[in-house]
Parts: sequence; structure tokens; C-alpha cells
Amino acid sequence: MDILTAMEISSSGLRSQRARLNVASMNLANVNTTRTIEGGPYKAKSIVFAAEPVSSFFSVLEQASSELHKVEVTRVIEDDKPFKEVYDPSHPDADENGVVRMPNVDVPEQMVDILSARRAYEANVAAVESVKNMALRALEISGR
Amino acid sequence: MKTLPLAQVQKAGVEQLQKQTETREPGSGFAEVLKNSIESVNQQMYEAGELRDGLINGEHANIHETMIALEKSGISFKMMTKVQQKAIEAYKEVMRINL
Amino acid sequence: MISNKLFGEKLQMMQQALDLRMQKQGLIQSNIANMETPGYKVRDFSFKEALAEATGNQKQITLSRTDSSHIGGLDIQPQSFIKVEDREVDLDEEMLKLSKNQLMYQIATSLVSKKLGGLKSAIEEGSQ
Repeated sequence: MDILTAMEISSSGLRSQRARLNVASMNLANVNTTRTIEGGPYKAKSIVFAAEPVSSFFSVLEQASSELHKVEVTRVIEDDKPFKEVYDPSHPDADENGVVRMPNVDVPEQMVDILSARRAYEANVAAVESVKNMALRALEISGR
Repeated sequence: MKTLPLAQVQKAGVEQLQKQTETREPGSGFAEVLKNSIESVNQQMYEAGELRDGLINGEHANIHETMIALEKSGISFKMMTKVQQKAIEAYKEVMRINL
Repeated sequence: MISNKLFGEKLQMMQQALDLRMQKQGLIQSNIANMETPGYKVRDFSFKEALAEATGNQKQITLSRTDSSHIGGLDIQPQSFIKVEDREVDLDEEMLKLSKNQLMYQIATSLVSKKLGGLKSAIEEGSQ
């Protein structure tokens, strides 16, 4: 294990949490989007994380069966929960019964997700800081 | 007392000396010890240099290993230098005694 | 060889401690990166046990550092005592481990420097 591998692991964490943040923000931004390009209301999206084994950049021998794992976003999936139905005949997208189908975005859920993602993001930042300090300290090894 | 011919005595003496030099293990002389230590230090410095180059070239990122190897090779070199100095001083002392 | 007698086993052990701290760091960072990955379980190992095994094995292992497969490699494979625990990542715990591991690494580097410094002075003073 070396600093570059450590950076790879934590930066994958930063990337993934940022992607999660982006998706949650997008969901919130579209909470009222009743008409998408594909037609129909906006469907809430969520991302799927998966752990991927990391091999050291350098010694293939060492890391053949390593337990080091980075994280990657493997998919963005659409939520198939039913749309919320709201009675609002004046709405341009109301059907013949005056019912509007609203995006299936659960606002509190997205807020919690954003907070979670931020916490996880900051934890990965702390991890980078930590290994960086270790490397800087190692450079100071000397007999003086 | 039986007197032996000179040639015979000389031959016996030479054989005795030869036997002694043959049975003495190679590398047990002081010169050998110094030579081995020089080789060992050279090897250490070479390996440390390889690690250092590897770190610079981006072939590896083992910082503490490299730093320790560099320090060790420097210390070994210093040690060897001091040992040689001492050996030379001791030799000079001995040479003075003989005169 | 003179060099090995000069440096002794203590320095070798300290270097192994540093290697193991880096290994541990990698696992802690993996745990933190995967804290929200579904199904991911915490990975860790006992530093004490790993170091004891490493120093025990050292007597049998002699490695040439110039062997390219070992440049930057560990003398022993720690995978044998890395445990996959049966629980998900607890962020607070991992953050604590992170701080502690970093501190222990930095302590070890300082101790190594002190040891090397001691050797250096011993050689220099011996020449008076």
C-alpha cells in the first residue's frame, strides 16, 4: 500500500459522493417537473454504489488478493414508485379529470441523502489529508 | 644429532608453509574483511540508489522504505570510511614500531 | 555483512511496523470510501498480531531488494490476517482509527529517525 493507491481509493469516494449529491440535487430541482422530454412527469433517480478491488499501481504480486476497495457508481436507476396525484384542474398538464401527476420525488428523503453524501464526502477528504501527512512525515526520515 | 642436508630442511619448511596457506580459509585475512565490507556497502548504496530513482521515476511510491535505505547506505559508508581510517592508523603505528 | 550487524533487528522491525501501518491505512480508507456501499463489510487486521508474525518470519526470509518484483513490496503478505468483519462501516469508528493510525505512523517515523541519528553520532564520536 502506498500513498498513490490510497489517493485512488479516497478520490473514488469523493467522486461517488459528489455524484450522489448531484443526483439528489437534480431530484430536488425537478420536484415540480410534470413534463419531461420523454413525456410524463420526472422520475426520481438514484445511484448505485459498488465496491471494486484495487490493485496497487506497482507491485502486482503484493496486491493479487488485496482487500483494498475503491467505490464506483455503477448505475443510475429510476425510481418506479407511483407518481403523486394532485387535483389541480388549472394545471396545464392536468388530465381530463383535473388530476396532475407529480414527480415521485420524496423531498425529505433527498435532503437526508444530501446530508449523508456531504458527511461521507468530508470523511474521504479527511482520509486524503491523513495519508498525505503520513507521506510528508516519511519524507522527513533522516539521521539528523 | 643427525645433520640433515640443507635442501631437505628447506623443502620441509616450504611444504609446511604451503600447507598452512592452503588450509587457511580464504577471506579470513584482514584485507579480505575490508574488501567484503566495501562490496557490501557498494551493494547497499546501489540498492538505495535504485529505490531513489524508482521513487523519482514514479515506478513506486514507497517513501519510508526509500528514505530508510538512503540513510542506511550513508551511515554504512561513513562506518566503512572510519574503519578504513582506523586500520590505516593502526598500520602506521605498527610500521613505526619496526623502525 | 557488516551492514546488517550495524543496523540490527530493531530497525528492521520498525520498518515493518511502518509497512503495516500503510497497509492498515489502505483498509481504513477503503472502509471510508465504501461506507455507503450496500453489502460492504468492514475490513481490518490486528496490528499487534501482524507485526509479531512479520518479525517472527523475518529470520527465515532474506530478500534481495533489487529483485524487481519486490521493489516497493512487503516482505510478508498481510492478506492472511486481514479479516472481513461481519458488519457495515461505522464512520465514527473509522475516523477514530484513521487518526490513531496516522499518529502511530508518525511516531514510528520519528523513532526511526532517532535511531538512525543515534547510529550516526556513535560513528562520528568514535573517531576522536
